[in-house]
Amino acid sequence: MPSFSAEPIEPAAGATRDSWYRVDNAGKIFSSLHGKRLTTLFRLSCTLHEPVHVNRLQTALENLQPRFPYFMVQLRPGAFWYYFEHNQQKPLVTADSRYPCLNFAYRSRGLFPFRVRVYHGRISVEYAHALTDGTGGIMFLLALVAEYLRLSGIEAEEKPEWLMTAEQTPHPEESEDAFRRYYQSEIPTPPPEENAFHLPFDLEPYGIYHIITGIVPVGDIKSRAKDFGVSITELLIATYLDAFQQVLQTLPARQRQRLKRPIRLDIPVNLRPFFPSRTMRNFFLPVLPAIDPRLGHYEFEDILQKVHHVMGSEIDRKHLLQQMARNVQAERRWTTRAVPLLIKDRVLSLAYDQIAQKRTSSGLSNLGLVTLPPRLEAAVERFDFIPPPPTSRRVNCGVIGFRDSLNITFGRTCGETLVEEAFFRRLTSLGIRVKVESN
Amino acid sequence: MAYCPQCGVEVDQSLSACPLCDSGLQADPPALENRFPRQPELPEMPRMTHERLRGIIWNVVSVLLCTAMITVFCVDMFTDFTLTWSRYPLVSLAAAWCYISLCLSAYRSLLALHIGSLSITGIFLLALDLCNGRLDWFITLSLPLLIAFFVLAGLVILVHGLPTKSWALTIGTGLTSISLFCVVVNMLLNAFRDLSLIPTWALAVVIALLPLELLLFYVHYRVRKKVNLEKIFHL
Repeated sequence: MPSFSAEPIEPAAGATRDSWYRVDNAGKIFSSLHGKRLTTLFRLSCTLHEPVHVNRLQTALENLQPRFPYFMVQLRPGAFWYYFEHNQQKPLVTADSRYPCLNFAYRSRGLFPFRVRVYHGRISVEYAHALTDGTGGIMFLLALVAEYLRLSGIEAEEKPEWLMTAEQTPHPEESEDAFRRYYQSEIPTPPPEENAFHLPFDLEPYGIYHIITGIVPVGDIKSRAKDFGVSITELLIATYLDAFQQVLQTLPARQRQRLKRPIRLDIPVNLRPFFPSRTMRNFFLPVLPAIDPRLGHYEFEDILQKVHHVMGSEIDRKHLLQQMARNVQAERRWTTRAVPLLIKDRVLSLAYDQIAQKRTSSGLSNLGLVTLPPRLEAAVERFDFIPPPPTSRRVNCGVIGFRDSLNITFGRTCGETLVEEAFFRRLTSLGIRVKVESN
Repeated sequence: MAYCPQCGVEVDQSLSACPLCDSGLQADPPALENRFPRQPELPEMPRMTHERLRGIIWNVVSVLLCTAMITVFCVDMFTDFTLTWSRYPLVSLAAAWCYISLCLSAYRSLLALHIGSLSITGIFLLALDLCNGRLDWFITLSLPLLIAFFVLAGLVILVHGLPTKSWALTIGTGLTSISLFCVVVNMLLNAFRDLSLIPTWALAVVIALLPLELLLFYVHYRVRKKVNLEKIFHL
């Protein structure tokens, strides 16, 4: 395969050939997940109005290497945990493919735990979740786009403080495991949840990942959310729960009775606003709004109220600290730490697929509204967020907004589109316009 | 300006092909017909995956070995009406089945192979010794030899897996392990034959290999830094 020259490079400022980083609390689970389907890759894309100049993008990527030394790494196995080691290779821009977030053996020696892909005007970065979360990922993508546009002669008149640029020096806090900083050992852990309803559809053969994106005007959805007295995220969560309830009701009676379990969503919450940190590693915790169809049918307004109250009570510093305590305590227990990585890999993979994934029916991750300085914003058409390919959950959802559009992307590993249909039908029934596209 | 018709990207005009997909270039920007390229990354999944192939091999081997075991067992039973000579082939065939299963299931992990083969060999030797109806040589000879072999081989594997490994370090450690193993063999054989424990012929091996080992360690440590143990063993 033809490509750019891949000569080894010198370590970035602040990073030496011996530099290494601990994997953060959440990343420790993600790094141990083996299996072709559990890629844990998520994609953030920025589409420009003009076709991307590929050589210029490669230069922009190389210029950013010193700024993000904690991203210019390779995942290596230690005796007890994985760690990130400085990678002497050069990250290369590669071609895009029909099915994103698949076929990337980032655990191999010399490979980065992210890749930059390009197609027409779209710059996509696919990240291994062991490396970073959506917030860290979007910061890197914005820095890459800003550097690319600077090389193309489009520079921001005034660079905002949050925009990371090539000439800055990396802050030591950017590579910290913020979970460790804020974790409080004396807090009791919350009780575990029971298993949730899962879509009973067959998995597609490996290598297929269906993507359906619905583009929604921000104004439409904002005004409807305001009418209901909830936030946009809460409206989307309620719509998603309602879609699952509708799918459950379409199943044959016997199957429905057998599968009737709580419909619970995994909603990752960015912890940085609650626990200040500059970290570019994973720093999120899930909130789990749910409805229980065994108790009867829920009207859409009932779901909205329930979600509103759950989100209000669970997105709270104390509650988040309790969730954090559960995760970090599990990691810091001597019985966990002293187990060799070889065994941990197997146990964690199995526990993630058979226990953690079964507790929720699906995931919905909202990265919020992305902003850029005006001159850069004029060069950008849209942003997209594709969630990691699900396995037992079958479908995941990622949401990202830019200017006046909200892009709601479903990633699906089964053939049936019932959830997406029910979701977008509900939105249109609320008077929200939706434009749908797929791969 | 030059554009790739497949990737839709602009490339340097000095190039004759797209640096991403090697397609020929065109002067005009191609129209965006689909949000994603039509071709998947892998054209098709191969029908025979490695997992499936290993499963088939395991099934075939299991059937063949089981057939051989049943045949041996039946022949011995029909001729002598008890288990006599067939104990040895039965134990050997069972050990072969265990080794093959281990190789097929844990072929990716050298450590698992090492520990697994240690266990299988230990049980195999114990069973062979027990075929006589009593323990003759397992405890005094084969078990210590086995442990010595696997500890020293484990040392070589461990060194080979170090991030700062080099050919000099691996070969040097291998030669040192051979020297030590010869000493252990010499001492155990002497003890088994009720002779003095002081090694004899093994000393010649140790003296012959020592200069080469020192040279190899010198080559490795002269150019290499110390291993960052915290990186490997952080808890």
